Amino acid sequence: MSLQENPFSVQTPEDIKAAEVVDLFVDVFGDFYNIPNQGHTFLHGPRGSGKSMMFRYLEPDCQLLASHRNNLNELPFYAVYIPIKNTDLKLTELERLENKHANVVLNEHFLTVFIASRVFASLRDRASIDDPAGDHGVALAAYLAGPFRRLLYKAGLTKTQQPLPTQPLLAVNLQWCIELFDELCSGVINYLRRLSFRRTALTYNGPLCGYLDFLLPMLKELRALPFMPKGPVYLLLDDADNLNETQTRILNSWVFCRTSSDVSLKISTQLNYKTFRTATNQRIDSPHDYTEIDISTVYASSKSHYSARVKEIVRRRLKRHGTVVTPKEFFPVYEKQEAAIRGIEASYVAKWNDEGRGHRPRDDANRYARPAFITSLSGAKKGSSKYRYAGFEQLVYLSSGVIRYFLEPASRMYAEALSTSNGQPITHIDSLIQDRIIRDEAEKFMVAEFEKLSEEDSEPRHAGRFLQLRNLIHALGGAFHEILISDKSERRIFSIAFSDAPDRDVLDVLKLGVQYGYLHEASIGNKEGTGRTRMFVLSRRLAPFFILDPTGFAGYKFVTNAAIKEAILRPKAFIATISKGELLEDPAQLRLFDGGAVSDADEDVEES
Amino acid sequence: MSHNQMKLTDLAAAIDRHFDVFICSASYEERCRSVPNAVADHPHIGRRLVCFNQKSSVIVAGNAKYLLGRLGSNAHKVPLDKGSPLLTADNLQRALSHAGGDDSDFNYLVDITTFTHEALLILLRLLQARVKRSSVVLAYAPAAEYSVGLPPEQKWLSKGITDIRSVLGYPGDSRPSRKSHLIVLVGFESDRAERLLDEYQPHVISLGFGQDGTATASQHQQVNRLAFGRLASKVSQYNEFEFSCVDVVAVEHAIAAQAAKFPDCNVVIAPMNTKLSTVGVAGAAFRNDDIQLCYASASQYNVEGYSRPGDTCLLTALSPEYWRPTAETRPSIEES
Repeated sequence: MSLQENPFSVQTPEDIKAAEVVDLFVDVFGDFYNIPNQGHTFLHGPRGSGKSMMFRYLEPDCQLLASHRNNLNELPFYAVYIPIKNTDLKLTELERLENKHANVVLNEHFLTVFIASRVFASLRDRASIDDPAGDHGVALAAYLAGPFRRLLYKAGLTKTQQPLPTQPLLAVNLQWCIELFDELCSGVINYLRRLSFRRTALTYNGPLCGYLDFLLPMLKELRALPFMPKGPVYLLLDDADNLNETQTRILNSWVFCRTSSDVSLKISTQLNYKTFRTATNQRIDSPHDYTEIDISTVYASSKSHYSARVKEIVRRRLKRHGTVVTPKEFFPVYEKQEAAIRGIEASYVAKWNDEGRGHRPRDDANRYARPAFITSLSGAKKGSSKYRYAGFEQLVYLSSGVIRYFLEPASRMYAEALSTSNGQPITHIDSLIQDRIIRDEAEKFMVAEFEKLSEEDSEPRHAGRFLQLRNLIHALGGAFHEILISDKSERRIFSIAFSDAPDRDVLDVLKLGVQYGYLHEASIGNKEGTGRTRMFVLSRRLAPFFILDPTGFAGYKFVTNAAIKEAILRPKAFIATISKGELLEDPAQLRLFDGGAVSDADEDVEES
Repeated sequence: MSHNQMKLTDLAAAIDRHFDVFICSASYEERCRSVPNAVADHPHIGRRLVCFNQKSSVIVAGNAKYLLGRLGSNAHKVPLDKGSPLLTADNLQRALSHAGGDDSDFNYLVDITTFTHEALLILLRLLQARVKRSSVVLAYAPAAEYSVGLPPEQKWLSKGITDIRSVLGYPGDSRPSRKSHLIVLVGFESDRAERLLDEYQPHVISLGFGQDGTATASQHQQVNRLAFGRLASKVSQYNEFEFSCVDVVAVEHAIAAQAAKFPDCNVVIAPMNTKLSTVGVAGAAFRNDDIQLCYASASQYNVEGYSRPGDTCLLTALSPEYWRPTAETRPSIEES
């Protein structure tokens, strides 16, 4: 790779060759074990959290390479990657069919033939089927002439419309299948084209393929071919938010069928999936019908191995780029700052015997040294901006569990370093550049992106909610900063948990924050120890904006619904109350920030 | 096909034939009145259709009322719906049917100035089914200034995207096994175009910008260039092409040539530049059913300062050739 090329650039995984995918992909399936295993799975995560890369890695070309196998039938499953682009299937003309019986039938046919085309395209492009003796071609030809032909007939595709191929050549026959399903897709679109400006019914005379009567048996028979893996077929539907509501309900009906031993549906969403109800309005539930994973929540929790994953991703990217340094060397800390913090740590260790709060001398050093350093800079308020957000570990924390939020700023840092390097190879990114770009990213997230989101979201149910969410984020960020520079026993706070039940208004605002990545949701044991309660974690991407310490495990505070209402309506008053410290110390008013903080490292935090 | 630029004050005199139907659209822009004011008293204009978005601001309703009054007793309102292309299509279709001309011999004068791109594309598709021997002339009143009073780098017309959808009547012919090619005719709004690219994540990106000297007014060229630059800086790999902002036929050729460069891709086009270039894009789609058109509906418009009316007008006569469909298909239009 040329040194001019940016090692951190983000590409669409669909376009990356298998060798590069295997080279770059860090096995995260230890954290997301449901994905490579049999069973229907929903994978939720914001754009850039690595969903598509996981799917791409599951494709047979990558699996063969990664497992050093030569034959497709040695793989444990066959995965077909099916990206759903915005207007591939969600055609405006389909609205003409709404509230008509044909709506479900035609949408299911459309979805089925779309997927079937991708299945055979995958066999052509990703399966690397070697067939020197022609046996596989013969087997495929027999499949097409037998069970496949019967399915086509049942679907209403007569022999005269689509004669079967006559040659037993694998490549030719796969191409024939692709063209067949492409044509069937085209048939639907042409019908819809004629429907564009009609207000009354228009007869559809084409074939109709459904899941249970066509796609499932087609895939079951396909699995039986000698070159195919004996395990299930995985249909990896990427960005299923782009389906219309009817198609979404149809897909849910497929999930409801529980056919995962033959066909497992792996469905990724960008947290905007339209419904979990089926075409017949039944609700699909986890874990009965499917398992569910939210990437950002998994990685935001303390149990995950996110930091190790990012380290490995960066190491591989640097190696591929020809830069032989470790991630820590490439993204160095600001040494002067770290030396000062080490000095403070030493003083905490030294006075632990007399004044120590933690169980061990290092506890206090780890817990208070960095907050104390940030506090020392904020004597003159503006000085606190002198704290430098730099160093690999700190950047990992600041990406808040989404790899894109590491790679994108890293890419900008590399570009800036390159622009001043006079053509010399980049061996590290100066801490000043790291700090400048990461602060800029935080500001964009809190200011520009917030504005854009509130402008873009015109859903009536969100009316006024963005302003409330902005208030809440300001209130929480401001309060957490006040706590950071206080002398409290726990100063590094990023989360709130409810000591009572949040009402619908408060919950709507919090959910909006989760939807747009400003908050993560988790749960934690309640105060009484009788069950669990909701916890909301502020995105660490905002740490530079509010001057918070993103490193290490952070604590949380119990809050009441009333307190959060105050934060939503009067953020400045909320922060002022916290900064006085009265409410945290006065038992009579512990209702605002109730009880002592408990580190989320020590508690059983559970992602929801 | 020809186009002429003239003073608005000369427009009435330039209309030298009878038009059975005049179609215009009320909007929050003052210039929605420019062409109707110029032709209102013309003796050779028959029925007048005033379109307006029924879920828009009071300014739109006010302008619709003004236009209905100004265009006289032969004027009829046609409610459109920004959120429902089906309703827009049905109401336009009903209005065209009621206006007559089912024997395809009506002449239409269409003021395209303040239609949304989506409503304009739907109208063109509906006209395509009605026009055979007759003549369609488009009138367009360029703005003297967009985003009034702001320096070029701060100009904005709309913000945000509420929805991205295929345009009714232009579904394309997407083949699932093929890769995707998104062609954007970049206008002033780099933010919206960027969101579009982000949403589609196409395999191939083509970004088109208006050719020098073809902008509806020269001062708009600089703003277009800035928007193009902003967008291009955020895309790692793209193909660049130029198109005319005013010449419908030249736009069609530019689009056809760009689509032909990647013959194995599904083509989606987002027309985001001038209304005349959007008419050219529709022409390209008329001749190539494989092309899908998409529309990114804006969540906020610069209602206060969208534009300042100019004093000129462009007249474009669409030739019968423009309406020629592909051999196989033509949308089935139902008469009401």
